[in-house]
Amino acid sequence: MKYLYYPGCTLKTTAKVFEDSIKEVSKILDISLVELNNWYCCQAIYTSLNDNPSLLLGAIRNLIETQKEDDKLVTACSACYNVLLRSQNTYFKDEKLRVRINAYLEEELKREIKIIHFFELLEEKIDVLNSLIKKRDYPPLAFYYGCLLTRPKGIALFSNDINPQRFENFFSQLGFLTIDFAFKTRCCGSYLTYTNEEIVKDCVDKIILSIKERVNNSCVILTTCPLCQFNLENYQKDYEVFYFTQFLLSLIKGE
Amino acid sequence: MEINILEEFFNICDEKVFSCINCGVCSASCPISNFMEITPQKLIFFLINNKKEVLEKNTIWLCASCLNCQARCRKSIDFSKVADALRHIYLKERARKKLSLELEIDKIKREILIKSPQQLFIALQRKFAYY
Ligand code: SF4
Ligand code: SF4
Repeated sequence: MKYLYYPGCTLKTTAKVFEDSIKEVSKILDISLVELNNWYCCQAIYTSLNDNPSLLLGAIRNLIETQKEDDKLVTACSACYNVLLRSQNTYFKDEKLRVRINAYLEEELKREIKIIHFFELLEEKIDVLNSLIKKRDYPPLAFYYGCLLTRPKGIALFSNDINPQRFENFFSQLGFLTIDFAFKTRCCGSYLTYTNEEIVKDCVDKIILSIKERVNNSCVILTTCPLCQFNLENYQKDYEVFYFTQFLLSLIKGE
Repeated sequence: MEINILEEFFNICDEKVFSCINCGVCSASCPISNFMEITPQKLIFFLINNKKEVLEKNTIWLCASCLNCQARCRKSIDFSKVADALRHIYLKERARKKLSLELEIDKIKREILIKSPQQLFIALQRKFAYY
């Protein structure tokens, strides 16, 4: 199956391992990801001021580029997913703003683009994945969802923003032990890492404490978000933190 | 010129802050509120009473837009949008008075700047930008 793919800036640079693993896994699973033409930054964070159409232009332009070829777009970075989704949602809901956004554009966004998270493609291929996995003797997996795929309520990928279960189900079907922990969707501190490190430390500490409550020895933390990955890895040393595709790839390779 | 904070706020933000029932659920659910000078609920209370001091509180800078409060609020108020708007008003005010901004890039640790994801840094810049 062929999909248009939006990598985003981070997967091309600091989260290169994430993109590399996505590409390898898709090759193995026969998913063809074709990079979107002329893509550029989604503008990193959804900004909500209603008097300024330029704040949503980055995301909308990427979607316009998409509509030239397809009505679906695959992405894997939690931040890109969130920004594309929310910008598109605002574009179609807020008519006044849409008119003003269109004034900047050569072309309108004519219909809603289905924004797909790479994980959704893997869910469809679970049986194939199951047959490919060589290594299963792993410590339990703690899936840290974070904010960007779970909120805002109503449009986010995961409909349960307190205790989502989709990743847990996915990995249990592959034969792994997963753990539920209280703070799996609690904020990691995000960009406060630059200005208020002590706050991010506090956020990460609490997430780790809530994992510790549920595991005896070791566990592996999995995430889909380059921000969460950075903060979780930087501010604690107890557990290893991987992107979920990076982890899957190592299972397939039997490493 | 004294600014009217409520008027400025409604110029750029649609959040229905007057429907807030002051229950404090936002403050209780916010992972960062114990670092804030005033909690989200209090800030909204000050704002609807037209208190300009809201601009001076660290609350508007510490909100990480995680939307935990929005998901819990029974009035569906999105505090991150309130913080967004107030930051913006603050930055515009400062620019008008020709004051420099408070974010000093030199103060950010170099090792963090180098290792951190692009997305995170752009998000930080967006937070300190006004339009
Ligand atoms: S949770 Fe909502 S209604 Fe309650 S104090 Fe906060 S903003 Fe107001
Ligand atoms: S969006 Fe801001 S105020 Fe609300 S819970 Fe998150 S950090 Fe706290």
